[in-house]
Amino acid sequence: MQKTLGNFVTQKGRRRVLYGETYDKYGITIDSLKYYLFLEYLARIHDGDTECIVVEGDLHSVINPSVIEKDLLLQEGVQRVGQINKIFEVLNLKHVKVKLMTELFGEEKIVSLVNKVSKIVRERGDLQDLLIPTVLRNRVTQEKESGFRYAAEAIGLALNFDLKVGPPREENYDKIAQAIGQQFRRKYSSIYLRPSYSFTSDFSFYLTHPEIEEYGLTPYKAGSNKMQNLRIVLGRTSYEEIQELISTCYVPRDISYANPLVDLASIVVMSEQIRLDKIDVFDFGKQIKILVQNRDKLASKVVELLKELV
Amino acid sequence: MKNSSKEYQEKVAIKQRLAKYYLSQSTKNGLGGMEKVLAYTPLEYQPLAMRRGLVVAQMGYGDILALMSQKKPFTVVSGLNPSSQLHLGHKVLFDMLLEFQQMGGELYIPLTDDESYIDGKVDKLSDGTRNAKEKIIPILQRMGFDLNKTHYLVDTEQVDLYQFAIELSRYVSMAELTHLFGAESLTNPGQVFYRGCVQLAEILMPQLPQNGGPRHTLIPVGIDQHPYILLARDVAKKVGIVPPSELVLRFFPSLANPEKKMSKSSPESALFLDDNPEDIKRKIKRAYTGSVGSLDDHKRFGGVPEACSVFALQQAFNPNDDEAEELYRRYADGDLLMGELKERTSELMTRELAMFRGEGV
Repeated sequence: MQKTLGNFVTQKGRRRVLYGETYDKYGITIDSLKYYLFLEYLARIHDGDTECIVVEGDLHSVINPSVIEKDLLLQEGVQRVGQINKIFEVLNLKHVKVKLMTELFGEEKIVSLVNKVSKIVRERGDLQDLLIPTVLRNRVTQEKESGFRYAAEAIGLALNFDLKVGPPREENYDKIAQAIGQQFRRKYSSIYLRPSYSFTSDFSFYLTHPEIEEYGLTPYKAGSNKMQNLRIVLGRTSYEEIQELISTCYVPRDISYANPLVDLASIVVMSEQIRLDKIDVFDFGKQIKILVQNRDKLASKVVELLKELV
Repeated sequence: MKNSSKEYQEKVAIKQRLAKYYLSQSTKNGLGGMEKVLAYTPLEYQPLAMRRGLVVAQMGYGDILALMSQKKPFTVVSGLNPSSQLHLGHKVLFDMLLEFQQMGGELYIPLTDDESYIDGKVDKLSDGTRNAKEKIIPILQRMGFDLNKTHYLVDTEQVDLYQFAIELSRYVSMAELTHLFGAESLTNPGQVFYRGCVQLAEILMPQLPQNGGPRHTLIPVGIDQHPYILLARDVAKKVGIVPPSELVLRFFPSLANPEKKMSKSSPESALFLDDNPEDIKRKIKRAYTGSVGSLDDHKRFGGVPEACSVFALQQAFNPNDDEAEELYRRYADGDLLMGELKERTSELMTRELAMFRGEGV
């Protein structure tokens, strides 16, 4: 990741960066903010011109046959774009734009590449085999029948960009994306942010859920693993609840293990540096450590930030 | 290291061999390491032995931690052969059981008088039973276990245990037993029945309906006992109860050789729970250390606490984490001299064993 990031920030010229997210009925998580802020942070430390796109995957949010109220979810996508634009404005994210997947899939260039990738995935059993670990066991048959449409479209979309930012679980797609990218002579690069964690007070949680410890929850879906009550959702989690979650969550002594406070602190520090236009990557880690050690201060800064956004 | 003495290099080699042994043992047959357990478990839920690195591996321990985290009760089973003369290796285990009890654990302590007789450790079956009742249980009671949450079970008096053992007999094959224990440990029908059925029943009996039914159970064991737990987990699944969780402890080192187990067969290199202060002092004075003979070299190269049978006592029993850490640092740096270490360790062990001599602590 350091190499990818290093290459990116020192490359001259125009670069396009993608972060794609789906959503559920619970709303925008604070974990999504981390990605929006990171894109802006990246753009500001990049030597050249950077265009960052947040794709709201409306089509992919309703792709699963088990999803009910599809029309409502599609409508929610439009509303989310409005909310996210407001967030960008308040946080002064000048280099980041949000687009619906529906909108992007209306662009001929993008659709063309998506169709080519989908065709390759449908025809190559070896690639399909590699995609099996990316889906739940009970959905393998359904995905096979659809030619792994979700994954193929996500890969096709990502290949239109110079860099993709996402959660660690996307590494499963990215190995295949790199293989397919070579066929089109496109260099595919991706970086992953720290996994997103809930504010559980159960210290045994990550020992009994090793996969969540490794990959985290889906950052943009509050209902990931049915933990919506232990996460911060913009406009839904009250300020009292936020303070309670922050003060009662269990965090291990070593900051490098699963720790939701690190994410909150990074959100606070990135937003402060961006708004003051004082990007300082060297001070970043130091400020995070200070905030993580002072939960009251962290909670008040998070609440302060969210009050402006909602 | 390049310029260090041959004696120092030998001690470093002991440290390396021990580390290699435990690493290889703690990653085989489905065992998991302790790194994440230690990272995620709050210190107040880590028994002293765990904080000091004496627990080297685990299997399914997350299930027990989940109960601790939710302040729910859990069960711990740890058997004891009443023919044994109790030494410090036993005390490490008893201390850990006491701490688990204080964290919400209900203790089952089977006293295996049947095993004592079957293996020829006592002349008469009644000797084993008497040892259990008159020697071992009184010693255990001095540990301060909560009587309401401690079940001392003398095997031959447990009808339920034997009935359960007979039920379990259909789930274990002779081939499995021979593979696990070796033919040399199965030389009479009693050994076959004890090792193949009674021992399993001891581990699984807290889950009998009359004891509260299926539940998570923790079994702390020595590293050589892991295969028994694998068998118990396998049988538990077959009979529809919860496979037990396991913690694997390092063996407690002999005072004469840190690479060997402390054992009653070598009395001068073992500290027994009923040793008096003079015995303690004499044995510690003669113990093997991780320091080289020459004082100059000790100061120059430092010591090797990991290869020291005396420091092992501090590591296992010094209740003060900061003090134990400071001693380690001074030892490794060559600032701690063996006279001081032995003196302090003799005092520590005299205090630690006072309760077994009937003295106040």
